[in-house]
Order: sequence, then C-alpha cells, then structure tokens
Amino acid sequence: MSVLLVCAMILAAACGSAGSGTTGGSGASTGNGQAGGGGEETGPTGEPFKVGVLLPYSGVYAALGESMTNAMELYFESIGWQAGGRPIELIKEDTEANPEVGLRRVRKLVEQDEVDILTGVVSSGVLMSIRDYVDEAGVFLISSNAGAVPIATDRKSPYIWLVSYTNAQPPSALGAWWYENVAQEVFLTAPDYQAGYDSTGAFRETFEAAGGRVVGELFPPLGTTDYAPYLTQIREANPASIYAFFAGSDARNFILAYEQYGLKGQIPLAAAGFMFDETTLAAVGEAAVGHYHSMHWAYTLDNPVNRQFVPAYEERFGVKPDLYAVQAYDAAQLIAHILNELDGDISDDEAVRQVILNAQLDSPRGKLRFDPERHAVRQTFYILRVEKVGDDVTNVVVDSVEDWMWPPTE
Amino acid sequence: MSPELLLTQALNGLAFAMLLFLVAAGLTLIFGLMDVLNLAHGSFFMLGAYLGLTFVRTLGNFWLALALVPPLVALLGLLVERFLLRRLYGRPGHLDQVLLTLGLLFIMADMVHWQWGAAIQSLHPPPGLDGTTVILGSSFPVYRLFVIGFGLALALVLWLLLDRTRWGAVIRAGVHDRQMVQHLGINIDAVYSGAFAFGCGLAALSGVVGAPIVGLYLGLDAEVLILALIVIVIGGLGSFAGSFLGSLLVGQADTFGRALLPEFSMFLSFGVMALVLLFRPGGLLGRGRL
Repeated sequence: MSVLLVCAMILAAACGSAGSGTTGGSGASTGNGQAGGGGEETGPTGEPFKVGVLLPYSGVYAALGESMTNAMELYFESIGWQAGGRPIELIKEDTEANPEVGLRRVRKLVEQDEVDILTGVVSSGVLMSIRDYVDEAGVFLISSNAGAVPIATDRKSPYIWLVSYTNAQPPSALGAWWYENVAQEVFLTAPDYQAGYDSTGAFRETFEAAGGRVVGELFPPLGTTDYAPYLTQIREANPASIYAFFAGSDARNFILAYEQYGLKGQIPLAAAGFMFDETTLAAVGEAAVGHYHSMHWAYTLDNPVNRQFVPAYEERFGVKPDLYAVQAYDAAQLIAHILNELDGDISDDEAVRQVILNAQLDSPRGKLRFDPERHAVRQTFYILRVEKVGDDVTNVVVDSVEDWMWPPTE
Repeated sequence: MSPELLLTQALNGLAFAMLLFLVAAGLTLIFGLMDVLNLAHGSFFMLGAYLGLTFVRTLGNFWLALALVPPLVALLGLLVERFLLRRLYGRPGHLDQVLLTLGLLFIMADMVHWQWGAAIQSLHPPPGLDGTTVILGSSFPVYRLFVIGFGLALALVLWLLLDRTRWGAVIRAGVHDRQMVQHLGINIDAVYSGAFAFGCGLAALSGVVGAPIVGLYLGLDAEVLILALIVIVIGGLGSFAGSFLGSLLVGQADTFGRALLPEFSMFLSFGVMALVLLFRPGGLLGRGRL
C-alpha cells in the first residue's frame, strides 16, 4: 500500500510541474502593412522576418510576458508591421520562467521555426540556460528583460545584447544613496535564483563601498506565495533596513505580507525597481506607500517619446504600461532599426553588431546607447519613492544617477 | 530562536496545518471507507479556491462564497462518483482508480487554466479579518488566527459527527469492515456517494479558506495533493485523528522547514514521513498493516 502511495506521490509531483505547461502556448501573430485604399503604396516585398519571442505566459512572471508582448505589438503596429522591406512576424513561445523549458522552446524556435532573430526572456535563469545554445547557433538575441550579470561579463556572447539592463545596474545605483540617506545597515532578501543573487550582490557592492554593513540575508524559493515564515525570520533579526528584490507575483505577495506582519512603517524597505512597477502597484495599492526603489524609467517621465508612448499604450490596452513594456518596446525598435539599416539582410553578423553599437535609441526612458564592453545599455537611473498622489498610488522621483553602468567599465 | 519567533512560526504552521487537515480529512475518509485513492483531491481544493475567487468578485462577499462553493463542488464530486468511479468498484487492485483520478487531475487542471488563465492570482481576506493584531509583542495577521479557529472548530464538528451520529457510526463501521456493513443491509452505494461528495466539499472549503494564504496558481493541485498524501500516510490511512495529528506535524515541518532551510522544505516533510514509517509502517494511528 505504501509503495502504491509513494508511486502516486511521484506521479503527482511530476504531473504538477508539467501540468501547468502542457499547452505550450505557442502562437504566431503576423501583421501586414496595410496599404491605404487604392493600393498605391508598395507593401513589403521581402521574405517574412521571423522574430522568435521567448516570454513567460504562465507562472510567476505571466503578467510581464503579457505586457511585453503588448508593447512589441504596439511598436510594430506603429510601423505597419514591416521594416527593411520585409514583413515582420512574431512567433511566441512560453518559457514558464523555467530554465529547462526555456531551452526546449528556444531549440524549437531556432530549429523548427527557423527564426531570424530572438527576443524576450524575462528570467535570468532562462537566459543563463540558453546562452550557450544561442551562441553556438549564431542567432542574435535582443534581451528585453533578463540581465544576468555573467552575460555582461565573463559569459558574454557576440550574439546576445541586453537592451534592458544588467541585474546589477538598478540596485548598485541605489546602494550608495541608501547609505547616505536612509540607513547604515541592511538585510538582503531575494528569490533563490540568478537574478536574486545578482541584485543583492550589486546592492551590497556599492552599499558596503560607501561604508554600510550587511547584517543578514535570506533567499526564499522563486514563486513562493506565502512569505509568512521568511518575514517572521527577518523581523526577528530586527535590521535597520531591508533591501529586497522580487518581481511579478512574488513582489505582490511579499509587499502584502510586509504590511501584514507589521514591518511597513517600522523598517524602511529598498528595492530594485521591479518591485514597485505600475502593474504591481495596481495590485497592492497603499501597502506599497513609503517604500523606495530605483528604476530606469518612471511613468511620469517627461520626454517626447514617453509622452507619446504612455497614452498610446493605455488607449490600446486599457492599463498603464510598466517598465517591462518599455523595454520590450525598445527591443522592437532596435530590431526594426537593424532591419532598416541593413535593408532587411542580417546575414552579416559583424554588420549587425556595428549597427547595434552605433545605435542611439529614442526610448521612453530617454536616449540609450550600448556599452561595447558590456553588451548592455548605459542609462539614467531614478531613485523613486511610492506615494499617494490624490487617489492614485504612484512613483515620485526623488533623485537620479546618470549614464550608469554596473559592473563598471574603465 | 527567540520565544516570539517560535510562537509566530508555530502559529503560521498551525494555520497551514488546519488547511491541510481539511483536505486530508476528506482524502482519508474516501480512502478508508471506499479504498479509493483520489488523486484529484488536490484538484477539488484548487477548484474550490478559484471558484471562491470568482464568487467573491461577482458577489462581493467572502462569506457568501464560503457558503456556496463547497456544496457546489460537493455536487460535482457526487457526479464524479456516481458516473465515473462507481464503474470501477470491484475491480482488483487500485490501478484503475489511480488512472481515472489522475486523468481527472489533468482535466481539472486544464479547465482551471482555460477559465482563469495562467497568471498567479490573489484573494484578499474579507474586510474585518484583513487587519493585523499583536501577540506577545509581535504582529500577526488576523486572518490566519481565523483559519486556526475555523479549522479547530470544524475538526470538532467532524469528530462529533463521526462519534455521535448514526451517519458517523455507519462510516466508522464501513472504514473498519466494509463487507460487514453491506451485509447489514445498509445502502452502501448511498454511503459511498455521500462520503465522496462530502470529502470533495471539505477540500473545496479548505480551498476557499486557504486561498488568501496560499494564493491561486497552476500547480496548486499537485502541491496540496502531495502534502495531503504525506499527512494521511503519517497519520494512518483511514484514521481521522491520525490525519489531524499528521496535519499538525506536516504543517509545522513545512513552515519551519521553509524558514530555516528554504531549499529543502519539501525534503523536511518527506523526511518526517520516512521517519514515521520507519517505526510505524501503518502510520501513527493506523492499523499497523501495510
């Protein structure tokens, strides 16, 4: 009997992890440049340009996958779904933010669908897992979120370019500021995977360099829904402040539990932007008020591109855009730019690289350019505090750090 | 570890234990009485949680959802037993039932995915219970205290039902000796249907109550099922007091495990089970046979 039960448990465990992803979530969306009325304009004549989109459409980061897809579609719609004389086609695959699944899906995109370029990737774990495959296959990957630090340093690839950030940028921009303005001691917490270590590690670097002291650290598993045991442990340590990195549903659950267990208002909380993006704020509301973070974009940023992007996104999708949407929008821009500069022919890898290195993107974040050493963009980071403005809970800019790159280059 | 921390974690573990107990009680009832291993039991929990979410959103009242969802899911359980499971009684071994309920698990998981999507959702505790209180100097969410109280009260009610009513007597007899009950002329079919439906309803009840604590996500069914299976193995298959005891053990092991050894929390729960089985192969309060 016990043997049967044990078998049943193993089955259930295997089914549990596979069950949520059996549907695969693959789909293709194509748009064709619509010629106005009389067919006078010439539509794109080249071969369809296939963009492989690797995003999580289920699990802890599902909301990010959705907003990033929205933003890419918004951009491609605005240019008529074509660039460099070729119609653009998106082929989407669900990574479930799981490294093994991500690897299977990227293989499928490259070998079965024969995509011309890859983009997306939310999870640093997935990025690390597909790095070798993408590098060997020689397909360019424009990461619109995942910014695992090794991919910008010792595990760089000539094919992988981070239009988003490196995991170390947001927290390192905050570290020294936090020491000078809020607390001299900090307790670190983040999910137990690559991005978690990158984020807390980078904060620690600049915080300690400024003179601060780390009093403890705790890494709950990615996808934890009940933070009670962890927050209770942290509360026990009674640190002067806490630095946390969580995103997606983790962020929401952590912030709500932070309030429920009496830490809000007692212990100041610092975070790397993703914890207080627009989507999370919509879910947690006032529980987030008073917390600090650093982000390379703010909803209220006043530049021409953002002034146009935000209302366009809101009108099309009915919700506020978040940081991930901005990054995906920029990835789409970069892809179109590459196609336009090279007249739709990306067979020359060196030429593509040159275009990327010389690109000056007009992002809702401001102007972006790639750091040749890091294969990632240099950009401004804003120190933000969540505040209640009227009826709205939103991010208010308190300070900023310009042209920031971490790990630093000479 | 300070006394405050110990108390807070113990309370966290107790709240979780109550949720597990409600699920395990149904599972052990179905297994003890009908010798059916219902692998879809966690799915009924998940279904209860998601239905609870929808009912709260549309009706705007948590208590209404709590009252309506379990009977609804119990009805579904009744239909499953009557039209699917009943065909398999009398077949040798357990494989057929395992396959059937496993299939149900897949179907229900996909239904939930199709209806509610893949993003992780959360349900807020009802107003009045969503605050924080202070126990021995530490803050603790009021809702978890409610779950503890609710679970204990329900455990008491279940015990009274089993011990003091005729229905309870029939069930206890059936668990002890199924064939004898049949020979006594009791309509065993009705008892089975009722018990299965009741078990599913309990699981759904736990789902609604537990949703504000555990969250709503795909994969919840398998996680709850595994923990419930561990609970009933530890407690002894077919024993209610055993499932209560087992829930307490697993609830604490899981909570303390997650706090102290985050990467190995599941290992701790299985470890407790292995330890128990080493000394008492039939579970703590089981009948001592394999």
